[in-house]
Amino acid sequence: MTDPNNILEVNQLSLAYDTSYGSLVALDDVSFEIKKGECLGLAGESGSGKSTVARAILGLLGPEATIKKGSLMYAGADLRELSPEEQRSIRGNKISIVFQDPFTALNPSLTIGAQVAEPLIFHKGMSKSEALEKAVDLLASVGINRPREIIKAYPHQLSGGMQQRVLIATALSCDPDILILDEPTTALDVTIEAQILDLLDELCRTRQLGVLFVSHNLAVINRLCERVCILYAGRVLEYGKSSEVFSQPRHPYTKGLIASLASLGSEATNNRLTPIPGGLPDMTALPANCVFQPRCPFKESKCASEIQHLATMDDGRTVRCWKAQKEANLRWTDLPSDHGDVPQKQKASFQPSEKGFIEASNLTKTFSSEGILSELVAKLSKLHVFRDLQRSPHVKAVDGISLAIAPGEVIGLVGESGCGKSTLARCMVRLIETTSGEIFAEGKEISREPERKLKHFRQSAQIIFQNPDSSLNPRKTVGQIIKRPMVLFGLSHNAELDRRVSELLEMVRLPPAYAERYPHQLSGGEKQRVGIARALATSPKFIVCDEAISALDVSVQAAIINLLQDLKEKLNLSYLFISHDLSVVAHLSNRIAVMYRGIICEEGVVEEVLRPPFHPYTEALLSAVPRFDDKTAETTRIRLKGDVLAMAETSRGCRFHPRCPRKIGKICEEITPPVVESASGHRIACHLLTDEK
Amino acid sequence: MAEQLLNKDQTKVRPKRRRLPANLIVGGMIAGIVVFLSFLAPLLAPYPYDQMHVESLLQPPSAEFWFGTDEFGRDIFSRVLIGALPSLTMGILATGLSLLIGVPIGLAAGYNKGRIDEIVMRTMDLIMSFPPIILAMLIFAVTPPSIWKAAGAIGLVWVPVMVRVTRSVTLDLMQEEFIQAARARGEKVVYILIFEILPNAYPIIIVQASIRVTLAILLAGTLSFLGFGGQPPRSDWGLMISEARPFLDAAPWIAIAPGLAMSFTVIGVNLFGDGLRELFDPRLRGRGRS
Repeated sequence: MTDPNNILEVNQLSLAYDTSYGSLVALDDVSFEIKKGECLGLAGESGSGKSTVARAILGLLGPEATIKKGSLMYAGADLRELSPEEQRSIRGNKISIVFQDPFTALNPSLTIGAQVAEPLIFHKGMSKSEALEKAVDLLASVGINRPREIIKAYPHQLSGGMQQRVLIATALSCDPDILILDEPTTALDVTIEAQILDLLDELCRTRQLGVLFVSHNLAVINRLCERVCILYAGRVLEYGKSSEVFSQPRHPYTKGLIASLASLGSEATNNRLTPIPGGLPDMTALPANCVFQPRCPFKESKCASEIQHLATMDDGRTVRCWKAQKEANLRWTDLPSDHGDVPQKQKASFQPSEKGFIEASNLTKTFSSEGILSELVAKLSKLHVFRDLQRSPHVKAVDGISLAIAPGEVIGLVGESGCGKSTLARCMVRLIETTSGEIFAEGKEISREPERKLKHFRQSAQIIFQNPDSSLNPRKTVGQIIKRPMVLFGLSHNAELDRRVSELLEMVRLPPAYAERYPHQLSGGEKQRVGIARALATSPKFIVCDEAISALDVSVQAAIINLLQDLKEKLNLSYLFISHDLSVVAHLSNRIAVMYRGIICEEGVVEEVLRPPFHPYTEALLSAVPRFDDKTAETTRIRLKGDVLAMAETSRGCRFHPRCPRKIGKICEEITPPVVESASGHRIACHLLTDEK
Repeated sequence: MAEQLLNKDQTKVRPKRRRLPANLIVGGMIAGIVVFLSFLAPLLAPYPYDQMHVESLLQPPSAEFWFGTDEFGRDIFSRVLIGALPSLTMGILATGLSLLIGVPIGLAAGYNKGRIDEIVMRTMDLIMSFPPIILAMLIFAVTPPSIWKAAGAIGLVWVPVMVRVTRSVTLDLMQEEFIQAARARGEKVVYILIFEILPNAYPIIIVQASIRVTLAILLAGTLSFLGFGGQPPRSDWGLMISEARPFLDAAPWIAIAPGLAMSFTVIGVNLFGDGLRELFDPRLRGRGRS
């Protein structure tokens, strides 16, 4: 052991999976250490081996995985050499883990108390009542209000953020030295993510925990972790202080990752993003020596012929690239771009001269209970005898929204999950029926038209979905998928059809040969491109992008964002771009609409929405986004309490008042704030503005 | 740009020539043999199924009587062969009927979540409450027993099973975004059901159907065993086992032979169903993923 402060040391860990294709080296020479009270970030795209590292430490690997080499040193002993009993007493007790998805990590049929107490009973041998007592303290320590009530609750009664807190409490129950967090905030909203990150930051310092934070989100790692380890195809490519790695990346891969991020900084909004070409290498046939060289724009012949070692730089970090020292300051964006023909986006000059292509007016969508039996119960509940039966509530997902999208315009729609973004978008393309209000497409009212009269509208309005795995029919080839809309609308025939398919594939930058493939043979980014090609096949004028890039890796995201941007300019498309990622929305959109509980609380041109005056909700959202560029915001950070769903329905006043950090007083609770529109069309619904006048 | 430069080996990712799944081949062969034998039984059987060899009662298997003889000295091998056709007919008819009615209803119910679904499913619950055996017995108690009626009764009672299976897959698939995409371009309901949903529901329907074929064969056995199938001296696997009961100690081969025949068929049909599922799934074809 080199440093007595090191609580966990992973030394030259190499690990292989036995697959039907032979041995697959999932980790090769991975080394890092975690100190007491320190948070180490483990970053990488999907398939880079992040989770394998976490599992190896916890001994959760399946029988098909074998550790070839290396050691996992915990408190001076190699975890692998301990007896199974000793291992068990350390794992889960001294080293514990929090998984990605809080919605599946808790057992839905056990109370919260039972689940937090379980490790205490198992590892510490506490009695049930002692354990429950301790559970209350633990829940309180992770910032859960009224813990005595919460231990009696079941998981479904808690929101995602609360569930994640419960999981952290469970992981902390045996006073571990090391906490492993596997993408703990990925499934959460940005506001909730900010709360959880604050909590982790505090826990890490007060409890002297060593934290291994596994994430694909570099900004989150930058916000939380002192040091970061960049993993690619099972190899550590760069390892050092986060502040240095992110501000001055040395390895080409790190440089590429950072260049591909959309940033909220105003100067970045007019630039194209720089994607990393290609995708993760085939793990069964890795490129020789440097694993990144097929995607690396800096590569030379030496990259393939010489073994790449982790070399220590002058500032103490280690980088696996022989050119790292020499070309330390060369940036990815300095390279000659391969898409020089694309004109620079001129967003600021956009003038919506024409009438809106698609326009929603006072749109409302209410979800009510379904099924005969529940309707019956609802009817019975009106009778006197059954008055105690609860009438199932109607949920107003969209509550009187008006939104117009001009040809060639991109509107970004942001808000926490459950605020009604997707519902609004689906109403606008008539995927779900509206309850009231009107939708105009090219001036024609279509919200009540029967399906057979919608043919023209269907052709001109399309949608791109979030999940590339679910958006393509697995039984059809890419060609069949793209052809279908053209056949349906009679847009082209026979031989021309195949030509159009090739054309569309080319448009989304896929080789025409892909038409023969099935979706499962494509990567996530490629599938998303096919989804876009399918939407383009009808030559639409308006496309809803429903979280269209959220499920993709960072380096791929950038490529898709650029693609959407190019297509928009080339085909004069309008997008309704839904995302929870404000930086991406800001990058791509002309205007932004911020949604909260079924209403739009702020709407305007990107530049205006991103700077004051704000709606307090927009301000909070912006403040919650972890960013590379500004550290000053730390002190002025605004944190929202609770989350959308946990708040009781407010029938009167401003919907946001229970969480609003800038609440004025009674007026917010009682009077619905009027929409104030500035001369430039920036609309905000908040009493603050009327108050100031 | 970008993903054109895939470093994946292009040839490797290409869909391979379709290789038939091993399950399909083995299962198909077994099922084929059974079907072949059942049709040619009258020609292949060494003795008439009801010929009694009075001098050799309850004989163990021998060169003369391959599977031995029963208490009347009838050749069990011949009786097993002859008994195959009624058993198979039963299995295929009952399953076919339940598929034919159940799958379309299931698709419709899953697609139209809400009122139609509710009405259909409650009706199905009603039908499901009839035990197939009791229903068949009821029919046979009032009319002369026949294999068609038995198959019809079992098939009808199984409609709800097929409806439930199809509906649940459909409900799941309705959440998939490719269905949303189809609706967003205004596809007709029938197109979505037949070309988008059904191909993805095949695997589960096929597995369910192959299980049902075997269950029907077993049920036919049970019916015969209870005396509602073929009447003696006719041969039928269930009937044979039923008749063998008093002699289980002295001459176990009387029950074992038809039992084995039944298992053999069941295994064959199940393997075949599993193989079909693999065949229809592009992800499993030629060991798919790159």
